[in-house]
Amino acid sequence: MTTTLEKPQIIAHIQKSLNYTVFESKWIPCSAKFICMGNLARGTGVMQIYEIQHGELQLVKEIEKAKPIKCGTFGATSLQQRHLATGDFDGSLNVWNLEVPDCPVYSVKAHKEIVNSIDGVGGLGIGDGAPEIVTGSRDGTVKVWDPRQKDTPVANMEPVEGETKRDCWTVAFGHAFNNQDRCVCAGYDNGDIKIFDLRNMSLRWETNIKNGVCCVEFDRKDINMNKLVATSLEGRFHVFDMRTQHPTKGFASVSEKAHKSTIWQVRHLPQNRDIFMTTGGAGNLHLWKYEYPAQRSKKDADDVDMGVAGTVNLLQNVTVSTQPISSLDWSPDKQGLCVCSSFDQSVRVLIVTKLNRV
Amino acid sequence: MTSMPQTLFEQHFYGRQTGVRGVMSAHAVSSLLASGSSCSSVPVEHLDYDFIQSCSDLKHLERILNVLRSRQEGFYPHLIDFCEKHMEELDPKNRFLWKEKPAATAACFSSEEWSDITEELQEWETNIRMNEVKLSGSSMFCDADSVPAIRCSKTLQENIRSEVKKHKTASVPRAYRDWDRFDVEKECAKIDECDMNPPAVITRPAPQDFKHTINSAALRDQEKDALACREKDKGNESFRSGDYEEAVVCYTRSLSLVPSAAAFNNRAQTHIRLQRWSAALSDCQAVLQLEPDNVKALLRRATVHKHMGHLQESRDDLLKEPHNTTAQKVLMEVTETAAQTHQQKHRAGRKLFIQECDDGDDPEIMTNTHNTESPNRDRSEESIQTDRRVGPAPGTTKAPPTELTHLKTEEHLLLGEKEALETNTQTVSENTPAETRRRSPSKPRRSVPITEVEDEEGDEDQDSAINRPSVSLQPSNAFEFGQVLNAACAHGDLLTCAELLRNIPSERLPQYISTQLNGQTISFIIKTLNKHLRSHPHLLYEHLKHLQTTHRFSNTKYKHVNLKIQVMYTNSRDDLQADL
Repeated sequence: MTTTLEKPQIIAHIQKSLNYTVFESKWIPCSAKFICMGNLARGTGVMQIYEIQHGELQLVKEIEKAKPIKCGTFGATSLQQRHLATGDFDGSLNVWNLEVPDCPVYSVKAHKEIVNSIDGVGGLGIGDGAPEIVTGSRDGTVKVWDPRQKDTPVANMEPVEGETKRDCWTVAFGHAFNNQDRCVCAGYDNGDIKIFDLRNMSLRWETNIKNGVCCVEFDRKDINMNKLVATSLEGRFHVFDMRTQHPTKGFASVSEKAHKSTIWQVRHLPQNRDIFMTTGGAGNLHLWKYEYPAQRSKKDADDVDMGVAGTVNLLQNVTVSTQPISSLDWSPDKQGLCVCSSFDQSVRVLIVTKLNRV
Repeated sequence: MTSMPQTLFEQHFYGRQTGVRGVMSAHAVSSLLASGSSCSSVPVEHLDYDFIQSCSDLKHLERILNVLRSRQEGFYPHLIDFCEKHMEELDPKNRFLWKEKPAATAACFSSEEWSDITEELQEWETNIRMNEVKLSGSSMFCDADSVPAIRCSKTLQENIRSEVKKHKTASVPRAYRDWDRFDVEKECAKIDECDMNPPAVITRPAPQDFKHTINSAALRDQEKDALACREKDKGNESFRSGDYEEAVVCYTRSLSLVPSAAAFNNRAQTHIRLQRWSAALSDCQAVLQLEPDNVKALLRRATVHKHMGHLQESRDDLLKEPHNTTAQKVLMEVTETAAQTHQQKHRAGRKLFIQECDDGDDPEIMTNTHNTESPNRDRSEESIQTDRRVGPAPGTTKAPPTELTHLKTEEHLLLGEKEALETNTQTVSENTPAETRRRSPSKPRRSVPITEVEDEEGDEDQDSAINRPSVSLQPSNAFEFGQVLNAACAHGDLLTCAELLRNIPSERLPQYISTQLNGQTISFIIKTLNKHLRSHPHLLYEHLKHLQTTHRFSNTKYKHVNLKIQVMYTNSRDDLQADL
């Protein structure tokens, strides 16, 4: 029985109002800076780099681009280079060197419609193997890019001809524990979740969670798939135990209803894969902890292994805004420090305390 | 619990509830409630302090809370709070208790805490800025060869989907005429074929797929440290979720980058879990080479020695850390095992002299050997049974506690209950400098003299006021009590706790508990009292009476615990009065 004082506290450390709609905010690795990406009122894209200095945010750099920027990731670059890969409203994928932002390091017209989501792996020491970027778009395709290969994707997951295209809302890399293995998980607006295995170039698993999938994330990208969290509309999220795949039943899962509205994002704490935060459409944040069951797998009636899902406990919840919190990013360098941005045109730096005692 | 359903509707509703429990979620219930306008399933009489207090059915409380929150019957904020508090006592993790609240600010913390937080952040800022400068300052060279080649491109047209589609068209015939076209033989053959090709079992990646080392040629020290740390964290996470093999791989990878004592230590622990003693030993040695005073490594090495049978080395290691409680526990186990092996060697033909002697002034150990039974020497608390009390392992005693207990019971029968309470059994002293389980009597006791005696020096704890009815957990001070209680609590062992509580005098309870005053322990004690001590109403009553008076219980934190104890106390008092 923990008293309220032992629970992690979520502190609103700094808040800053911006003059544009901010879609994504990401920490720049190995620094006290983060970058916000969004859409200026005049219809152009903007990236702003802020640094935390003595409890205040200082604007370090502002970069304006032709098209509004929807999403970005540092996942596929090395620690020294720290190039940002962005997807914009036009369907282009660009990789920027933030020191020299005039010209992108890599650019390709990835999709016909807006790039909804982007993820990278192989950089920053996460994941062995080639650095790769995956983009998911409203045109229903999921494409994997290698910055060394121009113009054509390394892998392309698209629906069959004649099939109705479902918007892909979210993508995530996972299972990248050695050079060859990679998995891409994609969530669609009709509730489909699909996992593509890039090693075998095949669909590994798919399921449908009845409501549009807003965000998927593996708990760690660079291990043998352990857990996958998928959030959806109508305030529900599912945690799948990815260690044991049953041939027909798939993966075991536990689901939780929270937020009373769309759950926009889920982000795992980089320092502890069993703690994650979900952000809601009502401007609230919930901090969860996953507890493993005593036995992670059991035999079913036919003596085939099937997984056992654990339980999810709410550690803390706060409301910081009235508008949806569209993005959240944990700092990879400091445990508990995170930046979140919401549709009320503001960005907040939060500190979550006592995470090492959870 | 809840009152009998008053109205017909209630009966109907409760009946339905029991019928479909588990299918109807709390949400469904609440929506039902909302829709049932005038016929609310919660009668107005239930919206009452006393009723809520006495109710322990969570589902019903949730319904009550729903009605209160919906303000159908009026707005009673205090009642809502009361209901929520009560629910929290019963089930702190109930989702109905989730509330919206604003983020914490400086005002929520004391000034020291807040300054701690801000200073820590400040420190981190300066450090990270230095690191960043270092990172960008050094030359960037891209070793293109070390990065794997571009994946061969391929368009995944979801072929499987189309296959599935084709299969679907050949479905079971629907129309009557279609049955003419249905070929039974072909379908059967298809089914057989399906059976023969079982669905591809997706296997976990084989261990050789995991790379055990990381190519660190292209990395600089900063990156190496960061990566090594990351691998170690991954190892810790795998360990926590029970994937020991994976944890070993992660630690190996971390060590291949930067050999660190922590990673070696953790890998040693993982090897211990996997029972790979020699590997664990070598890892412990590695740690101790880096840090000769590392406590964890010493303890782990002692454990390894114990399992490998090198009891002397184990004891040596443990004695280097005399003040560590874990070390003491393991030491007891080691000495026990040593005694057992020793006893097994000297098995043959020992006779037992049962002598009744009054040795009031000799507090030393009198132990005995027995040639019949080999007792269950497992010292660990969880295996204790109520009728077989394993005495604490003395230095080199060969006491078969079970036999002794039998003797005890015989003696008890002889003497009668009252006197038995005063008999003391054996005194056990140990070689460890700190706490010992003392049975030092200063009263006449029945003892069975040993054929092999070994007098051990130890601390005398002349706490003779404590009654000791049997060879068992008889703590003589708060620390011992705390130790046993903690161990029992950790294992959920209510029986041990019950025995413990039986053996201590009620007046001492507040003092003993004072060191263990946390919610978990208290609730554990209450559980035990509830479950096991109902047969001794008088004892229960005394315990509860004194539990209430424990200092710090008046603190608001424990008010609800106090409340519960009071309830039990009043109940037991009533029981007692009823008996009398």
